[in-house]
Amino acid sequence: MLRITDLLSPEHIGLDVRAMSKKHVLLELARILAARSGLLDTLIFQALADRENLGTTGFGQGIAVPHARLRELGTTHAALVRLAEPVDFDAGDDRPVDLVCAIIGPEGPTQDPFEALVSACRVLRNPETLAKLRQAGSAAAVHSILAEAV
Amino acid sequence: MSDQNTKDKRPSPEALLEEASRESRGHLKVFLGAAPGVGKTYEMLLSAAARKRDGVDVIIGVVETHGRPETEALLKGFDIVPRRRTDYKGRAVEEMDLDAVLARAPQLVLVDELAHTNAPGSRHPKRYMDVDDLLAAGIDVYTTVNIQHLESLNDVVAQITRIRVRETVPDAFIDRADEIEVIDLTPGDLIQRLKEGKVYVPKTAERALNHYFSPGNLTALRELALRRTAQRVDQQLLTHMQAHAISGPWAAGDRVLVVVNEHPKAAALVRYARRLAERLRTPWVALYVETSRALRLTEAERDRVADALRLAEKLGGEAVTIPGSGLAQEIISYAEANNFSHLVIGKSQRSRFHELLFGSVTYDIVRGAGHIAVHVIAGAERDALPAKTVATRDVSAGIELQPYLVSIGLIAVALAFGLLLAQYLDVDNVALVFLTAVLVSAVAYGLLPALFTSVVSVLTFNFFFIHPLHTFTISDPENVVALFFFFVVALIASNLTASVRSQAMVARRRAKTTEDLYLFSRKLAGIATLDDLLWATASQVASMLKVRVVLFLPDDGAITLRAAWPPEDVAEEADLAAAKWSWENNRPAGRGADTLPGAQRLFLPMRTGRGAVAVIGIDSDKAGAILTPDQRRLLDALTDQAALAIERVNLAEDVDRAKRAAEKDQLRSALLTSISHDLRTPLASILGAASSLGTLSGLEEADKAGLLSTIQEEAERLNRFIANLLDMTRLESGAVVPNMSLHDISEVVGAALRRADKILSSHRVETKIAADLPMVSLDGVLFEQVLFNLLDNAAKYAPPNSAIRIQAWRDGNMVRLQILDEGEGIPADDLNRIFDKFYRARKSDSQRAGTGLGLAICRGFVEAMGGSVDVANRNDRPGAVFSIAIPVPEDAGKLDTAA
Repeated sequence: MLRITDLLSPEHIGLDVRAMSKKHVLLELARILAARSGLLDTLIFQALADRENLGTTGFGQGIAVPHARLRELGTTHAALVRLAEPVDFDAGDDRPVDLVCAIIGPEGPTQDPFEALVSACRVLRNPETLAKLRQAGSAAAVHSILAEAV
Repeated sequence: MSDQNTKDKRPSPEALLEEASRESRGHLKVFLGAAPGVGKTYEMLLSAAARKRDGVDVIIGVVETHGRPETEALLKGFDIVPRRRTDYKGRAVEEMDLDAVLARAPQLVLVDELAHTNAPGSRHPKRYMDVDDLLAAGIDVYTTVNIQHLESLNDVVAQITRIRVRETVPDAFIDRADEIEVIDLTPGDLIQRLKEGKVYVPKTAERALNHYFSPGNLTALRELALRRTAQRVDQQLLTHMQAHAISGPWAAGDRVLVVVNEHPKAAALVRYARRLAERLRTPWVALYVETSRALRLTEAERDRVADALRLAEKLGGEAVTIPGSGLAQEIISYAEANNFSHLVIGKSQRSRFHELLFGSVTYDIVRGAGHIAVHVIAGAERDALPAKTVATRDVSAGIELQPYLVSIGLIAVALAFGLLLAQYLDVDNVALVFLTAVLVSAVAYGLLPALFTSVVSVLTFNFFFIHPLHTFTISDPENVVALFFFFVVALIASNLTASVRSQAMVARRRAKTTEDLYLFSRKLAGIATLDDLLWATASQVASMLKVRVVLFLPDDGAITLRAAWPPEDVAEEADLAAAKWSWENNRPAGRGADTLPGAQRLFLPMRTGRGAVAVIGIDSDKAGAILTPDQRRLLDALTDQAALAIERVNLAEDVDRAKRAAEKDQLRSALLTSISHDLRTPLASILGAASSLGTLSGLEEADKAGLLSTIQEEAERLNRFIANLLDMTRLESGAVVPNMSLHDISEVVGAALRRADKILSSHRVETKIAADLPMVSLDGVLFEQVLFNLLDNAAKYAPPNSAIRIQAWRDGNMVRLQILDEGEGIPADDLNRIFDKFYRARKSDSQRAGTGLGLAICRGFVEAMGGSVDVANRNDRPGAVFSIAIPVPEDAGKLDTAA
C-alpha cells in the first residue's frame, strides 16, 4: 500500500504559495511535478485540468486533491502546496481551498496513484492534522506532520 | 397482451420464464387462514411431519405455538434452529436466525407467521423477506398467514373488522407461492374452539368473541380467503395453459387504469384497481398526470404520489406518469390511446359550490369516457400507505427569526415615512406605505412573514394614525371599515405575492436542477473511459446532493468498489454486504432502506432498461435519512443517466473485445495457413529427394550430390522457419531480453554475411560501412539475426545477379544501417503493413515464398534493443530500402578512446 508520505519529501511541498485562481494553483503544482518527473509542465497541467473538469477534487474543509494519470509517466509523483490566500475550487462545500495535494501517476493497471490518492485523502480528512498543517512553519514540519498522521 | 395470446399458439415466454425460475428456487407452500385460531400452524406441522416420514430433511425455523398443547406436542421430533436473541430497547426479542438456517441448509424449513415484523437490527425488516432469501437459496418453505395480512385486502378487511392490520405481505409474494392450502373452519367451529380456550386464554377469548370473532366477521373473512385462493387457482391454471400453449377463453382486451393523485386515499384506489384487475385477470396501470399544479405540491403530497405509484408496482401493476394540462382530457385520451376498458377514479372531495365554479374532473371524465367503464370510488381516507422502500428525510420548516426582525424594520421605515407624509397628505394615503412594506416582506420572505407584517402594520397604523392617536381604539366607524379593508387587501396581496414568490422559487430551483442535469449528460456524452465516467458520476452526485459517494461495479461475478468521492478504496463489511444485496436483488439496501439498515451507507442499484449496471452508495454526516424526497428523485435522474453512460462504455468495450477476438482468429488462421504451406514445401522437396535417392539405383554421382544438396537446403529452410517461429513466440511472450554490449557494426555485418553466404550466392553484395562509426550497444546474436532476415528478404525479392548493398554511417547521435536491393520495390499500400506478422507483399509466382515472420521478428528485435527499423522504396531506381537506426550510447566516445 503506497502512502502519500512515500512520495512527498520536503522539496515537493510549497508553503504560502500565492495563487489567484484554481487554474493558477494547478499550474504551480504542474511546475513542481514537472521538475520532479521530467515531463512538460503544460502536459501535466492539461491532465490535471481535464480531470478537474470532469468533477471537482475539492472535498471540503479547504482541501483539494487534483490528480491524473499520464501515459508518458513511469512512476507516481506527488506535490503539496499551502496557499497564502485560499482560492475558489468549486469544492463540494463551496469553501475556498488552501491545502492542495496533487498526485500524478502512470496509466495502466498499477494501483499506485490510486493508493496514494486514498492515503492523501485519509490524512487530510482529519481536522486535527489539518489544523497542524495550516500552522506548520516549514516544509520539513509539514512533512513530519504528514508522516505522523499516515 | 391477452388478445395476443388468443392469436398466438406458441407458449407465452413470460409463462415459460415463470415456470423456469421456479425450478431453481425453493418451493413455497402457504397455509392460509381466515382468522387466528383456525389451526394453520397445527396443519403445517402435520404436513411437515408427513414429509419428514418420507425422508425429507425438515427443520423448524420459527413456530409460534401460543401455548396450545396439541400444537406443542407436534413439535417433538423436529430439529429446531435456536432463535436469535437481540436486545431492543432493553427488551430481549427473539427472531428466527436466518443465517443459521441458511448455513444449516435443510430441504424444508417451517416459518410461522409470514407477516411478522422483525426487530430492528435484523437483516430484513419483514419476515417474508427472510423467506424470500431462503427460497432464493433453494430451500423449500412452509409458512402460515392470515387473510387480513394481504396487502391488497388490507382496507377491505379493515372495513369488515374495523381493525386495520399494520403488518402486511405483498400480494405478489403470495402469488409466487407454489401451493396455497386454505385451512378452512366454519365460523361456528372456530367460535366453539375459542370458547373452549383453544385459541386464547379465556379472558382474551371473551373480548375477542365480542369484537373480532363475531360470526359476521368470520363469515366475511372466510369468504375472502376462499375467494382469494380460487383466484390463485385460476391464475395457476392460466399460467399452465399459457406455458403449454393451450388456447383458452382468456378475458379478452380488458385493461384497468387507475388515476392517482396526491390525496391520501390514492392508496385505496390502487388497491381497488388491483382487486378489479385480479378478478378480470387483466393487466393494470396506475397513472399520474403531472399538471402545473404539481409544481405547488408540498413534499408530503409529492411523496404520497410517489408512494401510490410505488404501491402499484408492488402490487404487480405498472406505474406511469405523464405531463399534461387538462386533467380529465389527458386521462381520457391516455385511456383511449392505450385501450383501457376500466377506469378507476376517486370521488371528488370538493363542495358543490366549488364544482359549480370550476367544474368537476369526475364529471368531465364520466361524460367523456365513451365506452370505458368508469369506477368512481370513495375510498378510505385513513392513511394506509405502506412503509417506503427508502426512508427520506423530512423537510423541516424551522422558523427563522430574521425575516420577522427585518419585517419589523420595514414597518419602522414605513412608519417614519408615513409620519413624514402625514404632514402633507391625507392619512388614507399613508396606508399605502404600509401596504408596500407588506408586499416587500412577501416578496422577500414568503407568506408567514408577510401575514405577520400585515397584522403588525394594521396595529401600527391604528396606533399612530387613527384617532384617537396612540391608542388601539378607533372612534370613527368609518375608520374601522377602512382599517378592515386595509387588512383584507394586505392579506390578499401578501398571499398572492407569496404564492408567486414560491412558484418562482420552485421554478428557479427546477431550472437550476434541469440545467445541471443537462450539463451532466453532456459531460457524460464526451467521456470514453470507464474511469473518467465513474469519477464524473461520483463527483456530480456528491456535489449536487452534498453527500459522499461510492460506486460498485460487477467484476467477475462479484461486485467491487470502483470509484468514490472522496477517493476511498475500502468498504466496511456491513456496507459490502448491503451493496451486494442491492446488486443481487436490484433493490435499495442499507441505511434508511428495508434491508440491512445497519449499514453506514444507502445503496441503490443503477439501472438501465437491460438491468442493473452498478450500485451507488451514499452517506453523509447528517443523522437520520440521507435524502429529502426531492433529492431522492434527483438522485434517480442522475443515476439513470450515469447508468446509461456506463452501459454505453461497457458496450464499446465489448465491441472492442469482439474485434480483438476476431483479429486473433484471423491471426490464428494466417498462422495455420503459413505453417501448413511453409512446412509442407520444404518437406515435400526433402521427401522427394530422399525417396529418389533411395529408390532410383544407378544415379550419377552428380545427381546424387544435387539431390543431397536439395535435402540440405530445404532442411535448412525448414530450420530457419522453425527458428523464426520460436523467435516470434519468444518476442510475443516478452521473453526476449537483449544481452546488450558494445559492438562494432562492421563485425556484426560480416558475421551475418558469412551466415547468409549460401542464400546470397546468386547476388552481388556491396558493403559500404563508414570508417569512423562508433561502437554501439547491441545484442550481437539478435542483431545478426535481424541482418540475416533482411538479407534473406532481399535475396528473395531481388532478381538473381542484381546487387544488394549494405551501407552504414553516423547520423547525429544515431548509427544508420541500410540494406538496399534491386527488386521491384514494395507496393505503396504494403509499406505500412510489411512488418506485420504473417504479412507477405504481393509477388510473382517465380519468387520464393517466405514465412511472413522474418520482418516482424526484425522489428521486434530492433525495438527490444532500443532502435527502430523502417522501410521505403529507393529513389534512384526500383528496389526497397530497409533502414535500421541504433542510438549511439552517450559514453561511447569515452570508451572508444579508452580502447
